[in-house]
Amino acid sequence: MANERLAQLIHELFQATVDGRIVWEETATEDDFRVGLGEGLVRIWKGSHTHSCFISLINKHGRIVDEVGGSDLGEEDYLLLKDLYRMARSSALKENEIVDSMLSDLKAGRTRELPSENAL
Amino acid sequence: MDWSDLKQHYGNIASVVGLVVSVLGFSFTLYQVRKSRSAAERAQAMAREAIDRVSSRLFFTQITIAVRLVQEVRSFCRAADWHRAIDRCEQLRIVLAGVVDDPKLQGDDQTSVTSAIDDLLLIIRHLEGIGQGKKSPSVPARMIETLDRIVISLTRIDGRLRTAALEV
Repeated sequence: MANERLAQLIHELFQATVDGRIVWEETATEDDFRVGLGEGLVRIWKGSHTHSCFISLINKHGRIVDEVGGSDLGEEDYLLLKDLYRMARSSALKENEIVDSMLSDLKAGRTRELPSENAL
Repeated sequence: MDWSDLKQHYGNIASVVGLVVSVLGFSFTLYQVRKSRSAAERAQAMAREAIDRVSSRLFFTQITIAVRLVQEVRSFCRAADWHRAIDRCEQLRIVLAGVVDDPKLQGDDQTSVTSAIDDLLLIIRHLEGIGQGKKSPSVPARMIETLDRIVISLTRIDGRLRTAALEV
């Protein structure tokens, strides 16, 4: 039952991310992304060894309330979770904005000067 | 004027005087009730103000402790003292979990404190991985940046609340 509710949450999060209604954020680790919702936050992440995707519901005191992923979900829901991970990553890293700016530069035939290695 | 007229005359005067005394007495009682009510309200407001002052001071103290703990996490990470770094991260999570419900925090502040608590969990996991030899003994730049970001957001909250307190 809890998994059904979480599967529904995954669907809703996916749709909201696709529609741009929610913006994900980066976290302290490279492979985790987060969005604050209601009385807590949702974190989506990849297991470091299995590379399986997981989603954690965390309350405002930082306690993990629920967590599903990998084999906890049916195949269809898990595939959606993987897509959600990809979308969340793209949202957090502002992929669309970057691509848009690149396309706009390409259209204008403009390139940007990159700092030399010595300057870095 | 016979005796019965005299009695009636003085009786009327006594009734009027009685009425005046009653009206005055009632007005005085109302005045006293109102006075004591406003005194009680003033005392209640003063008590509320005192509680607010004490809770603000406690809140500022908690934020100061939190900032100090983040700085300690940073320096223990730099010194590769992973156990102490984990200990400070855990203390910091407890302090932040204690302030997250404070009504002085506005919507965005609460979200940034909740995010900080979550980030600290990720940092603790990384540090524990180092301690268990599962991860290379270094803290990624991203985690140090996260710690810096936590200090900045806590200092911003502290500054905003102090300014608000001075304005009042």
